[in-house]
Amino acid sequence: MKTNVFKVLSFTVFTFLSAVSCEMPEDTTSDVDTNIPQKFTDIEANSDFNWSTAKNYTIHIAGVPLGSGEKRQFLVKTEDDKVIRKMNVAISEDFSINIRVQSKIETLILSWANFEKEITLGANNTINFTFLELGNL
Amino acid sequence: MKKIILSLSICVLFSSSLFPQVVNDFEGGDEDSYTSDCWEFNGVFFDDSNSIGTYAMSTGPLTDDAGVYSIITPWVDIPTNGVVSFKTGLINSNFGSDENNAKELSVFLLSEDSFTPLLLDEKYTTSELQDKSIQIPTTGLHRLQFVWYGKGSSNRAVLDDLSISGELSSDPCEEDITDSDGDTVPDDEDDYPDDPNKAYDNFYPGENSFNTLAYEDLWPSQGDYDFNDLVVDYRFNEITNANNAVVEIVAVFYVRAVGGSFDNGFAIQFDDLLPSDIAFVNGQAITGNLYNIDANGTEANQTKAVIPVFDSAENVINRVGGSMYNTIPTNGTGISDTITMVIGLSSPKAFVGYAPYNPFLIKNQQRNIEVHLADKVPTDLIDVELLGTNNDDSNPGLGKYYKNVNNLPWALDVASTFEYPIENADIIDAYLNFELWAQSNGTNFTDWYTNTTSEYRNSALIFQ
Repeated sequence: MKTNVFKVLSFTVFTFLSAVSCEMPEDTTSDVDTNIPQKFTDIEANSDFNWSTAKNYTIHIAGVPLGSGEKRQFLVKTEDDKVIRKMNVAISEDFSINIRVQSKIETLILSWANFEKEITLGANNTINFTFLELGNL
Repeated sequence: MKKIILSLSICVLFSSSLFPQVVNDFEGGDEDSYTSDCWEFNGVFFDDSNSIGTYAMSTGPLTDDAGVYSIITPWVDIPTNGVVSFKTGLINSNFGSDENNAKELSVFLLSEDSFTPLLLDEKYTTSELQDKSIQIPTTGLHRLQFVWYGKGSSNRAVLDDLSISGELSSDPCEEDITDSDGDTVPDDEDDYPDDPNKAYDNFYPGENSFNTLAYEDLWPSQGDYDFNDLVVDYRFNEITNANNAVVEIVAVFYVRAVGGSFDNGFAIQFDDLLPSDIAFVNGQAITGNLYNIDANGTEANQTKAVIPVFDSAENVINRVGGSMYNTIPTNGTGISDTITMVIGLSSPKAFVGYAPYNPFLIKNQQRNIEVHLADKVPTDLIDVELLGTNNDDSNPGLGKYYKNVNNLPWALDVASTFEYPIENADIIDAYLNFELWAQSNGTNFTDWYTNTTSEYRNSALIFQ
């Protein structure tokens, strides 16, 4: 009887130990990823990082030889039609505009009289633009 | 004379058609014969050395550096199915149709408030005189503009026997324009129709919106980075004249929060303006002796134009009890006075810098301690010995200012009305994508300060 009890106990212990040893090793790493900043001072930013949430752009606009030189209102607008710059120019003039817009804005609309054209904002702070490409010369 | 009369006829029978025509065979021989009828000629001349009648209109050499030549017709009331017809060709020898010698003619349709490109845009493929006829795809009052340009060989283009369906009309642009102040900007486009020195409002960030400056005020030591020690909303209006030069700046400030015990001041340095560029400043909120201010409203002993806004936030905030001001939700919310400053320039300036220019906090009434946005240059009155001390890693030689060794700032310029963290709440706990924005060098989550989804912020840590 003692022998049977011992055998059963041994089998049970063996089975238990086998089951435990088959478990995946416990993840010993912390729940906290040490690479993720836990507070502001943990952040490491690039030396050239722009901490502002707005960007400066200079748009160089090449005039097109249209019209008779009369000046009209030139507008820079966001897609939701918010005017951010007004100017008084002839479409034939070369001129530049310095503007500052939210970094999240990707598109601006330039309009002269009723003529409108979109420009896409990118990483470059300088944009060259013309309303009309004359031919392919 | 007979030829001139013919050339100016506006109701000439065209072939077998009964439709009126505006025609020009250029036989008048000079611009003066046509300018009274509102023809415009740019760089072209009347040429009697060719074989197209006695005179034709001719450009100069269509070479690389010649620019463009153009003529603009008078206003014509164009009927349905209108047509423009003309003869054109190239003169001078050595015509080449290859790309290096291309010559091109574009014809545009101009209207009162727009232009419609293009009726024609084509290269000359031969030097021979050709008859062209183009359907005009619209009706009503228009002008036509012929534009020539080219490169390579020195051929000139000629134009003759121009005929446009329709009747000559007066300039519609001149009929309804009212310009009360005579600054060339029509009243309906002029934000200041009775002031010849002002034409346009140019708001940043917008006529009805504010951006926010959020400061930590323990510089050069680091703080708790709740960015609420001083929170100031701002809006600027650069008022320009008809020549697009800035003549006046209207600045509006509103102190949203004072999350600290220091008695801080606030001012702006215009890095692109000298003190002498400022004629006057109205509306500053100054009661003490923190600043030494010159008669024009700028701070004395500065190389650049420095304009104090307030010497103490206490001048404009209205406390509702408890410590701090609008950073502890249980203390209630105070309403501040709005500061509206008008900055007059001594002469119009093409560029005055990008708003918000270079705003800074003056720490606890110590005029020699300033806190600026990252990499903004301090004024002449700072104690330069403080740069690079404690947690600050400023290095003027590298253009590095007001950043620590990890390039972290003491102030933020948020392009929106910033809902700042409550007292002692680290900004990265309140704004869940802030660190992703910073660590991605601004590539990801450029809208970290918004409330786009529930994943953007922990509202319990934001003062509302």
